[in-house]
Amino acid sequence: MHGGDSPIALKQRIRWMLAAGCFAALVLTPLDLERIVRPFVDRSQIQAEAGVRMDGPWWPDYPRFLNAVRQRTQPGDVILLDFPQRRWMGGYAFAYYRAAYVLTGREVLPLIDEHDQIVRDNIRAARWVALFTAQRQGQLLRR
Amino acid sequence: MLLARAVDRSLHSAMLIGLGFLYGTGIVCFVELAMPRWSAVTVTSALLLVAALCGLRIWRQRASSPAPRTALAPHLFDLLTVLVVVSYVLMVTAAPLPEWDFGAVWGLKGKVFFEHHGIDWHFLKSRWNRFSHPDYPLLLPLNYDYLALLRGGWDDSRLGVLSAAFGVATLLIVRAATARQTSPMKSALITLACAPVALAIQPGIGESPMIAFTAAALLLLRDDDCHPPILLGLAGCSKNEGIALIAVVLAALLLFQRRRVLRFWPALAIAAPWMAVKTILSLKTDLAEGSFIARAAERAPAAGEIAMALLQSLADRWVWLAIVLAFAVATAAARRRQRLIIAIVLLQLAAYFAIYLGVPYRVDWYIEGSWSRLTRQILIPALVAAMLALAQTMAPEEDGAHAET
Repeated sequence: MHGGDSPIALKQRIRWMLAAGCFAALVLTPLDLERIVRPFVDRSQIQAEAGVRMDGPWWPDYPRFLNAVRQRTQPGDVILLDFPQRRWMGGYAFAYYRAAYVLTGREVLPLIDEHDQIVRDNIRAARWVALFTAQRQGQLLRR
Repeated sequence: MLLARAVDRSLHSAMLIGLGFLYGTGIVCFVELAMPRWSAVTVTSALLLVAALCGLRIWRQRASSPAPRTALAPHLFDLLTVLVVVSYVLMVTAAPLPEWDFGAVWGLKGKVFFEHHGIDWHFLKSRWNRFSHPDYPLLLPLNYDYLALLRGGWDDSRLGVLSAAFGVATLLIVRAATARQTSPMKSALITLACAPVALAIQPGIGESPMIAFTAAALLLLRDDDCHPPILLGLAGCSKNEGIALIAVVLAALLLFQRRRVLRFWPALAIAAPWMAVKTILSLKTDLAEGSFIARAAERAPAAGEIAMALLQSLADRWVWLAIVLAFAVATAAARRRQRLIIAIVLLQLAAYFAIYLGVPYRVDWYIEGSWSRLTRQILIPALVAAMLALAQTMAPEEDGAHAET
């Protein structure tokens, strides 16, 4: 090596270092160590969080109620859902979608529509009414 | 894997397994779409018939020039990727999948169809089930159904394994594709970087297959006309964004490699059946409500604000920033090699932006609910392209003379 690097060699070396630094950053940046380590350390916490995440403040009573409704009804039954929150975007939609998942095989009909209006056709069509109250009590009523 | 080998006899090891799994999910989708009623026996019999036909094709091709057999050189850093995969599997099988869209869309349809022993078209057409997006393609729910048929029952605490499988398939393809272009160490590190994205943060929903098919199609796109059209078609069978991706890829090819466009007809042919079904049964997307063009025109003056909102809501922003920096640092030659992928990523982002302009409800609601997922769908191709550009910048002699021996 004679004296210092030529300008081109210096530029290439700087570019190499920047490239290596970027490469390392791209390897490390996506990695979330906490997310990777957690399942090895505490799976039970993941299990506990799953329920709350799906059902929010209604966990565990609402899914428990829906499972009880499922056990007491038959495939093909038409079930009207009555939930304390009577506004579609104010909580009723969540309850309805959740019921649709647990009560597959049955036809679940909402009591209200997207405009928060009572759907009388659904009341007439239903054989059962699944009533869940604000006190987290559930009843299955036959029409 | 038989289908993958029937399509391309040169496939081996990681690429064969990765593509084999992805093609397998596609076959399951089409078999169940075609059958009015399912059981484990009937669906498996149909799958075995397809496998037999693929095996026959492979056997008949045996006389032609033998496929080159090269092995993927493993590296110590692959163990880190394995660790990330194991962690993900433990996480997604710890409890029933908690994602809202699993219970309201993907898993819901799978469960409904499973109990119906076939696709429940009445459910999809019902006015009260529009929340479940009946227009969404059915590849994922139908694969949930096959798993449930094999298990003899629906168990959503185990279905997360399918998201893990899509992630693993993606990583195998990334590893094999990058091994052709750089050293084993850099290939292993690129795969490790892709692992947190390939293993979807939101398991159980359509992102897993969409990320897989997008990554596989784009990573193989530069040198291959065989697999990308099939993979793009299957992306179109996974999510509506897959249809947009097909259009974007065709547009990019028209710009840079016009002669290849017609060879991508399989992408349209594979995505077409579900599009036809949607049209016949009037299963509409919410985007089709009212006039999309009128809404987009009305929002056009606010395009700048919407763009800012998208930038501010960008998930993985440090990764995207590093990708931009990577291309700034890379040599012009290295950037040129990746220009097709760069163009497709930019066009797909532009397509998402255009769609946001015309959404029927509040834009901020859509951005909050979907933007992070949409950007993750194309993050792996962008990440791999950036890292390959850097790899070539650091060691130009490695390109082509790679360590796959």
